[in-house]
Amino acid sequence: MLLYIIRRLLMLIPILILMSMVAFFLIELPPGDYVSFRIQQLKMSGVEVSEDEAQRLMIQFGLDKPLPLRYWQWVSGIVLRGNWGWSLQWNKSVNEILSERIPMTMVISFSALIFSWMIAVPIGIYSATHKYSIGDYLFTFLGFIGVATPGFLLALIMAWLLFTQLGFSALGLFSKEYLDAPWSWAKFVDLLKHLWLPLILVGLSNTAGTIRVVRNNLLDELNKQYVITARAKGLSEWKLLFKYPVRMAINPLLSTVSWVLPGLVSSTVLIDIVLSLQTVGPVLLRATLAQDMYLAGSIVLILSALTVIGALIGDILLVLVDPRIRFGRLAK
Amino acid sequence: MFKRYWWSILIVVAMVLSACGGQATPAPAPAKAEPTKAPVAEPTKAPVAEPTKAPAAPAAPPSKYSEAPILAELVKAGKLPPVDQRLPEVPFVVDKGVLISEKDLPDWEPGKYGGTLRVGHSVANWAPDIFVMMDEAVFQGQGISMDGIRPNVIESYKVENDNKDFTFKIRKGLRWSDGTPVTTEDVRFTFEDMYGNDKLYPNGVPNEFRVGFSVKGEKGTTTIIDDYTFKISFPKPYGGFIRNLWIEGWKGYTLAINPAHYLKKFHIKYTKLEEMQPEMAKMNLKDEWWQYFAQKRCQNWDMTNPRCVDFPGLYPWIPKASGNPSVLMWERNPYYFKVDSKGQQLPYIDKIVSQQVENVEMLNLKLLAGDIDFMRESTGLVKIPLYKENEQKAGFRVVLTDMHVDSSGLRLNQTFDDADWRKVVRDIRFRRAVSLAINRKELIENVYYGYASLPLELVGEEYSKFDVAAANKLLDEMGLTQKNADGIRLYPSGKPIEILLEHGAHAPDIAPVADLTAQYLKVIGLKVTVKQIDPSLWGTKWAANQIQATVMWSHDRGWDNDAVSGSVYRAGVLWSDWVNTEGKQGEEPPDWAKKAYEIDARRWQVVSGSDEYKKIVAEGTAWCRANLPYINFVENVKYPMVVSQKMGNVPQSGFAIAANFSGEQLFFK
Repeated sequence: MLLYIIRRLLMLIPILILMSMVAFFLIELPPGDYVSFRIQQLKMSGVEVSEDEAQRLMIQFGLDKPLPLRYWQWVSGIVLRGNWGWSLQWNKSVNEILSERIPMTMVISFSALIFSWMIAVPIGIYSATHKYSIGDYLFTFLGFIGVATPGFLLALIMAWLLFTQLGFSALGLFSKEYLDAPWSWAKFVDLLKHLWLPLILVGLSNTAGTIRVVRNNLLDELNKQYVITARAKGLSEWKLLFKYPVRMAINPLLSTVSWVLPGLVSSTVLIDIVLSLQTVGPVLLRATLAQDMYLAGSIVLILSALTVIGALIGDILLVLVDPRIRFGRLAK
Repeated sequence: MFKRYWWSILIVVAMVLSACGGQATPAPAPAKAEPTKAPVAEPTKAPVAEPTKAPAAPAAPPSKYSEAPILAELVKAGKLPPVDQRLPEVPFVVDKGVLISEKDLPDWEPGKYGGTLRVGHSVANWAPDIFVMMDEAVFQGQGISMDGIRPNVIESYKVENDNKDFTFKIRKGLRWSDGTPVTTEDVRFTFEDMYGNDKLYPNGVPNEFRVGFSVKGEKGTTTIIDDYTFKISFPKPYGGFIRNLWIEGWKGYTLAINPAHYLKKFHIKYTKLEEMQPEMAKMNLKDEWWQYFAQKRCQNWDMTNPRCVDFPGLYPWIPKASGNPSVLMWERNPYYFKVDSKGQQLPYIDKIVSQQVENVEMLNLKLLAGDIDFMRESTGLVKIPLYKENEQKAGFRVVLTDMHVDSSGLRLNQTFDDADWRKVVRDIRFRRAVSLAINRKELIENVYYGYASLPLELVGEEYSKFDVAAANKLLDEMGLTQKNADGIRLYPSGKPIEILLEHGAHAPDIAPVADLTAQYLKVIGLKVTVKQIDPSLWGTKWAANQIQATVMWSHDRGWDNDAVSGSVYRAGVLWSDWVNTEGKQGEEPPDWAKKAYEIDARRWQVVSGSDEYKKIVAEGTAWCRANLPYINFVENVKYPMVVSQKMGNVPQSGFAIAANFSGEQLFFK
């Protein structure tokens, strides 16, 4: 198993090199660059920027250097100095931007994930064990609606409802009086007041899907012979259910760790934009729009690394939970 | 969280890009004719010959200057010198009619100290409302006009030798926000070490310091006379120089004066490369010190960027670290050089806090929730009913003011690469027919809610009428009489006249106006297909001459030259390329278009705002009416500005942006 892990880790290297190239060059691909974006922005506000000034800005931002050279500077900075580069748009280092945002992103994403599992798994189990009951139909109905409703739409509706009905502005994570205040108990309470909405919205987007997955898997398992045997041997219904079929049924949740891990960092872009949350998702979107290639490239690179690592963790977890699964080659 | 591999994010990004590409940009601004020039005591004659002293000596002897309570406390604690030592010998005195004309703000009053101004921004580190509020230029006029122009960061100035020599005297005792005195060393550093350094400024001085504000213009030479006096001389008359140091394009004093004591730490001439390298390594730089310098230097429009925290400035407020990446914060500058008529040091408001939201629409929502005290750039005329509905509840009021840029105009690119099209569109009769086919009354009613008027200035009465018969007649006269089965006129070559109109929806009125235009032109047998594209793609495509027709706003009323030579760029992209590259690229413009450059060159020579100047401006608008380089829809569009009900010294009319510029005199009642 150790060998397997080492081999998987080694495979990471070529994948990441390729990913870094794709990320960097893709962002460079569309016409224009950060300077033209910024000039457009200034012009919209009435600032006149001459051709001269544009040319000067290109040099000041280092955009006059050829693409491969800029790529090399970026990548060598990451590998040699742990420096993810300099964001043109924010005028600060990528490291700094990410360290400001990743903690809050992870708090939201992780609690939303736990929230969605806490709701989805029991409902999934209930639906499967009470197949075609009224409750099952109700949850199935809600589940389909949940799968079909985009999270950002729900966020918009909720923000509007809260505002018109309760006069509560659900935007951002803090009220205006705590924006620039240092951390305190009152600020923490204020955060909790604002946190529940994104938590539910982000969580809900997965809940419906997870319910379906758990229900279907469990239904498959419940009809298997080992369940009948166990029941015939007189195992209590609860113990039977949770000891074997449920363990099988949540397998897919574990195998999706590869997607969960980058999700924890990237957050849900659309919902975060709608609710004005200061997480990584909107930063990535803006960086891409502004062709801030060091920032966008770095985030994409981190996300792809997390996906690959997540896949590895998922595989290992599966082995631990489900003793039937073996590593193909090691078994030989 | 399950289905989020990295590329699914890219797809979402792409979707959002295409879905909401349009509205992400702040509503810009269309505008109006110069405000009926308010009759002012000392209007345009100012610059000629004799030095103009700062008008109105301080109302009270220096010891009578007072300061904000929070600063008084710091003085008491010994952390700050007393107010007399912080103000220049001759401070700038703000009174009725100084920053805003009396007509626009009749009930100006000395304000009260204190309060935090809450605003919002939707683009990372770019808060245009605050940039405008903070901006300080070399000169200061009323609103954004040339009326009542007076020295701002300088104490006095002199124009001699047929508008060729300009002498400026910095206010003695003027200090940067860190307390260091401002002297001509800051001017010398700017011209010698910045503009004179081929790494920092490969093309030398900016265009403002070239005759005629043009890349081809002769450069001015800067001479330092003493610690406070410097002189800029041009080989040719350049009376527009004053205007260029005041407003056109939101100028800042940073054009001529930069904090040398601070910036020398990042300049190769004064600091060894090895000393800078540890910091440069953070930016992944080895010896590109000029990139490092650029990160450290802040121009006027950089002051909403957190990298400029504590950068020495002359602004009413200075950026401070907020400790929250999505919050920008500014605190009062204890060394600010303006006082009011009672001797109170400005600004009145202690602090500004701006929260970033992820989308312009979110700003409006925050506004309705009462979280915003001032908003200009991101408001929209279409939202007036929404504002009115929430005015009382959220505690703000809507002021309908003028827009400093013009409302949308129809651009027909006469250099677009299509031989049939070129031949037709270059005929003035075609452009007149298009103008006549537009039902402007309907546009004014439906798109601008009645807050606009016919474009009498740039289109003229004759062609801003709605007259389909006359339009058809003009097209028939041109010989475009053949039509296909759909009633679309045919080019002489037999192809139907199909026009692809691509716009970027830069402002809320653009998309509806573009759609209506397509309908209007269909009536006279021209088929227009409307397509909305991403605003930055629009910019690239237009500059590359790839757009046949578009709807876009322009600065034609706020900026005098924009209606004339500026509109050549809107008439034919390749023509303006030809002029800008001195014939190396693009195509030679026809004589009527060349005439525009000749008019503007003359205008730059004479003193801005003088009678002669106004005559040339009138000549420019007449040129515009005669040639219709582009077709304006309406003029005098109103623009809602939203301010807290508690706020005082808010102008009741004039340009919205002018109220924005006068931020230092706003206060909470």
